[in-house]
Amino acid sequence: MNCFEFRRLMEIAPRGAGADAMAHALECARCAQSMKDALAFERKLAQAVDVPIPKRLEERILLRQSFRARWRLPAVRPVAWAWAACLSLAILVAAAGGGYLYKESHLKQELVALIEAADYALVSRTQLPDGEVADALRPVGLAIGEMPGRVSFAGRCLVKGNLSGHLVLREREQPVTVFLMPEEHTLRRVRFERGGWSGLLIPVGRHGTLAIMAAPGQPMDEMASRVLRTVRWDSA
Amino acid sequence: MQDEQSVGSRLEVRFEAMVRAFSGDLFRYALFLSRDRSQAEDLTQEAFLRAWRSLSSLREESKAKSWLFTTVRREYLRQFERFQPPLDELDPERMPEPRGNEAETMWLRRLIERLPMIYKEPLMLQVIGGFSGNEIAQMLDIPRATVNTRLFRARVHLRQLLDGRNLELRDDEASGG
Repeated sequence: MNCFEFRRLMEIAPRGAGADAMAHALECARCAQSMKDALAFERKLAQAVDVPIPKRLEERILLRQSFRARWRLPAVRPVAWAWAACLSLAILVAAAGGGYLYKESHLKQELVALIEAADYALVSRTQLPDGEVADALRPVGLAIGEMPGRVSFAGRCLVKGNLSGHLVLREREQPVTVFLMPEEHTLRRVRFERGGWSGLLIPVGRHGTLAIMAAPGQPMDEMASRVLRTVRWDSA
Repeated sequence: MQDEQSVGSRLEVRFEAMVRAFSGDLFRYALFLSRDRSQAEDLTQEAFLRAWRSLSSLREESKAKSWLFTTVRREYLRQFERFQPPLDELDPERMPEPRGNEAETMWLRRLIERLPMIYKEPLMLQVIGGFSGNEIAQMLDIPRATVNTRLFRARVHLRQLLDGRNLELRDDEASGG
């Protein structure tokens, strides 16, 4: 390797200098200096491109993927088809029997869609102050006493066009979503699986309906009991 | 069914490892292409979503990395080539008072942003992605000699600008490197 080739290499790939280049640098003081300068410039380049990445970028990517995965993994597809069949059956029964099952099925479908549309609510792990949770539920006509767990998101949403409370709690580090729906009246306690989520619908008398949604395997009954104990539904 | 679930679980573990390993550099590459942080995040997200769909075919980690970078580039060209956020004028008066390395780093960052795309792309693939000349040639679908010429010119130009010699670097490559 001659000096010209060496200097050119330093501008093309200074970190990729092989044995030839190193041998030349040992023999030629000017090229050794040139290598030193080139490596110093590489450090500056590396610093310049080391821009800060957005907070929680990795988590957001993984969250989006996890929603897609529920529909795309081979293991999930048969379940999705099975549920589609169940949904069709439910619609037939509803048409024959007064529409109740259809209404319930529609509610489940809407709750799944709501969770996936509001994926941002599942990201935070930080516990909210109690006051913030109470403030979020007040416009829905709900009052909350002792927190039912570690609330990491508190807000409102529209369920079938009606204002509802929306909480996310962290149980065993996993998010559990709670919908408090004063305008939604169901007739029976029902457990369901849909779109990769487990759900529990609980009628709260004349006050409305409570829904708990979580990944399969997450305990939901105890969470439901805690929420029912602490939420007052007729505070408006 | 259990086998299918364990395949799914293995894919998810592998995908998460890819995200942890490459998302930062992929975002940085996207940012230097698009010069817009929200677009850069969109490009990064999109590349990973596509990677998830094709995960079973991305068996080798090194190929997965170049696949992700190539996907970001293609998506950028498809979506955002026509939209270029305006660049601030490189007015030395508006730069912060040089305080050691920090001001120089900021200055160099802006100089890189202003490089013509044909020089910026291979340089960023090399500096951010750590790709070799041959890999860059494959990713950009250009001859290896052209990659060398562009890397050479990009570095010389940046160094000259950093030293205060304002020389023009044009998109065309009429003369050899």
